[in-house]
Amino acid sequence: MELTLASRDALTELINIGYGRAAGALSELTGYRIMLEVPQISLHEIASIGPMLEDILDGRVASVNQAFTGSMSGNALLLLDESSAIALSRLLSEDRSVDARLDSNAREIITEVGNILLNACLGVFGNLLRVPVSFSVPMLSVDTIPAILESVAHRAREPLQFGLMIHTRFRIKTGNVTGYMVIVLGIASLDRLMRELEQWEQRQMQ
Amino acid sequence: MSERKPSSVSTPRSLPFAPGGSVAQDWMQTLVPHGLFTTDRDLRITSWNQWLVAHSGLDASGTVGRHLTDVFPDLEARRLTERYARALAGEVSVLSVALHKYLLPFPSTVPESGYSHMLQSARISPLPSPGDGTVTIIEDVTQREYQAGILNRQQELDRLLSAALATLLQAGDPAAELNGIFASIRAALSLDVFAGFSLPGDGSALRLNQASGLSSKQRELIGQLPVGPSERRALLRPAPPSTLTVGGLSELLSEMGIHSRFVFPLVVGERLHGLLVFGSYRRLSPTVADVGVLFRIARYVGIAIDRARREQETLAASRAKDDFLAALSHELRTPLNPVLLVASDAMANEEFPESAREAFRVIEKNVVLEARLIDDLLDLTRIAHGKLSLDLRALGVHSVLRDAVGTTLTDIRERGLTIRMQLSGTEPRVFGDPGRLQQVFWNILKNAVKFSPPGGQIEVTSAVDPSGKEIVVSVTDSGIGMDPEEISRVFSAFVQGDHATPGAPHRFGGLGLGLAITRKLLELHSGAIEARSPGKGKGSTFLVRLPLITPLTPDQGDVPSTRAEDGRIPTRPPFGASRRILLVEDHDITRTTLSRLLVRRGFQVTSVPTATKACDAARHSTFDLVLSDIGLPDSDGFSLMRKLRDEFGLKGIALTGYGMEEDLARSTDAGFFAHLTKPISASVLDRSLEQAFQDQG
Repeated sequence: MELTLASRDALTELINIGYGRAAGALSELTGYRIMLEVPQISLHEIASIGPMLEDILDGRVASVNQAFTGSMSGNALLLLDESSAIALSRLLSEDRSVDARLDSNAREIITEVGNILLNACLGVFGNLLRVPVSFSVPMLSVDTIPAILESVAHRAREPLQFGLMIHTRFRIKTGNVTGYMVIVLGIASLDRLMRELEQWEQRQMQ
Repeated sequence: MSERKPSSVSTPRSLPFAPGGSVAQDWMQTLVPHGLFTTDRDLRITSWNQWLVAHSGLDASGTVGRHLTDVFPDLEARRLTERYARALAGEVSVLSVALHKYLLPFPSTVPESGYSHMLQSARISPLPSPGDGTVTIIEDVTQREYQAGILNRQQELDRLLSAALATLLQAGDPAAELNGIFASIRAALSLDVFAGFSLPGDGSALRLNQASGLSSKQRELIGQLPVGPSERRALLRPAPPSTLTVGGLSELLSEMGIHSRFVFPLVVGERLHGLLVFGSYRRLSPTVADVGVLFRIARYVGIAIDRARREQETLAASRAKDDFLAALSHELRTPLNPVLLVASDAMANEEFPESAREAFRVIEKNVVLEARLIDDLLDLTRIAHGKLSLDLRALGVHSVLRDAVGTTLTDIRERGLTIRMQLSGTEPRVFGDPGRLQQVFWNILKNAVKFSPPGGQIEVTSAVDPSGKEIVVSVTDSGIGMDPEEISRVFSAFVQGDHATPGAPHRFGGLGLGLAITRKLLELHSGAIEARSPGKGKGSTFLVRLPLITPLTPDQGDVPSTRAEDGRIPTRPPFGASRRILLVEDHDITRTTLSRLLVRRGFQVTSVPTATKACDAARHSTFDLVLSDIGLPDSDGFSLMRKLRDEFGLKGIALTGYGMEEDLARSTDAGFFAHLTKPISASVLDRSLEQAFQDQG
């Protein structure tokens, strides 16, 4: 299954709207201007997502995972390599310590940031696509990519087959923090997403 | 009774969404250890649990039914109402304590933590039916954050301590690192002032050595602190660092407005090395951990200073030993000097009957041997301590070898030996210390002479090794030879061949140090020595290998230049009466003997015992050469020579009993062109004089 050019454009636009909102929320929270790059969107079979992510994210990864349910269900993940996560939490908390681990403060901050970004993204599904979804509480884990993906699959309600990869980079102040968002969907949910996308496009044209 | 409030108001309203019936509802309402409240879609509070009542001081009557922002107006200002708007739109929000500290302003539950508010993490979620309202769960994390803060601080202090320790361990002079260490800890411990005192001399006063955060005037005030015996005793006893005082220090600091003071004596065992003072202009209430850090730093500093001081003492002791050896060598050689001069001169004096000359020859020989033994013992001690330094330069092996042969010619002649030299065609160049290499060859030659029977033959050859990288010098004698077992021991110190076994007649003398020193010296030159012998009575060969600077092809080396030398004593140089020598020597007997010897050789000699008199003499007369002792009563020979060279353009020969390398280097520095180590034999002196006047033209 592949994304048509049209639906990719539509998704990019949608996600971009969501991101705009996320950047606004994040910059309000932190008091810094947040620079978000235009996200790149692609669709992959779940089996190939692991190796792809492992190519770009080395070692241990901080992931914020928020499940959503409703007429569309799946998992949204924000992935940051450990050093980006530490850098981000330090920027937000003005923490000057030299500790190279994610302590409880840093974990909370990353969870909150993930929560804001993921909600902003998923919010557009509910608001614009008129597919209401409800969210679980976000969970943070620091682990390797395969372990993270395995635990997502384990908790899913339907067999997960596709992953929508949203690849973006955001910069806060001087810190360069690269993050990736992945939305993992089952086949039924993906089908629903595609149909809603089409309808949304038609509504835009009217 | 009529005053009783209706129960619906005094008990918080039940939570509207609790699944699983009333037990769960009751639990959430009364027992759950978290704050739990709900709002409707207009953000009016609809339930308020017991935990919230307990911590906010507001019961349900004061909250339920009211708008959230009416009860907590600062939510608006802190932009947290937006999270409620999102919850109404179906999103779950988490609020981290790190970014928001708290959601609702409740008093702190951990008073000692210093936080004014209860620290909270919160989750704001939509109620299960979207649009119905929101539910908020608040967790009190004050205790957790407080403990984490303590742990973080402990970690930070540990880090500072180990950094300070690492600095001190690496420092040669720990006291010099104190300002740096203070700079690293001052912020973490809220300190403003640091002062480091040492206890020099007789220990009657502490002296300020390092200070930070003090003006020069303040430094002056506490620059010297007298330490009486009772204060000294007090400093050696453990005491709380805020109470310790010495020499009015506490009062002085107090007058400067340094309200918090921590004074630590630097004590190791019974040794008091000084004092460290940390202070702050603020009134601090330091924790036990903070004072503990300062205490441990002071302890580390004390130990480091103690260690450094003991290292210095050891070093000084070792230097004292070297000086002692040098002085010993001087003292042992000085009396030999006149004896050798008289003997070596008299044995060549044709005016004496042959029997007398023979007696002088015996005296001369034994004095030289005695001097050699002193040298060998000193050399071996220095080699053993790694103290022997070489003055390495590029030099020709053959010229060194010829010099060494030259010094043994007298012995060769006396024993009726013949020596043949067959050296390779090209002068092989090596990096070496000329004096030490000459000593190497001299030792080997001396051995060959010593163990050869009268009429024997010594052959010296040199050849480039087939690899082209080494020059091999061999000295073969027709002497007593060695068996394999002797060969294996020949280079060990204090070992001689079987001829010297206890009980056996000790025909050959010596302590057996020469070859041991020779091997060590060659090792220092990256060279090697090897002994060979076909057996007892069949002669020995010693092979010396030295690495060449420029590799030569063996062909180049194979062109032999054969030159036979007999053992003729060189004729006494024809010294003219026109030469004037200034002799400076404080040892009366040596001065008189030497002066007489020089006069007999036709020189005009002015001899003086001190440097001052030498300068006077130089001012009033003209001299061609200075012959000066190094250890003079009023100055040292180096300064004297420098002065004579600079003011009168004189050149000189140094005479000294000190055989240490640094003396040789200093001697050249000062302007001596030759350095003769006492005792000096007449022939050695003659050679130097000859060279001096040749150079002068």
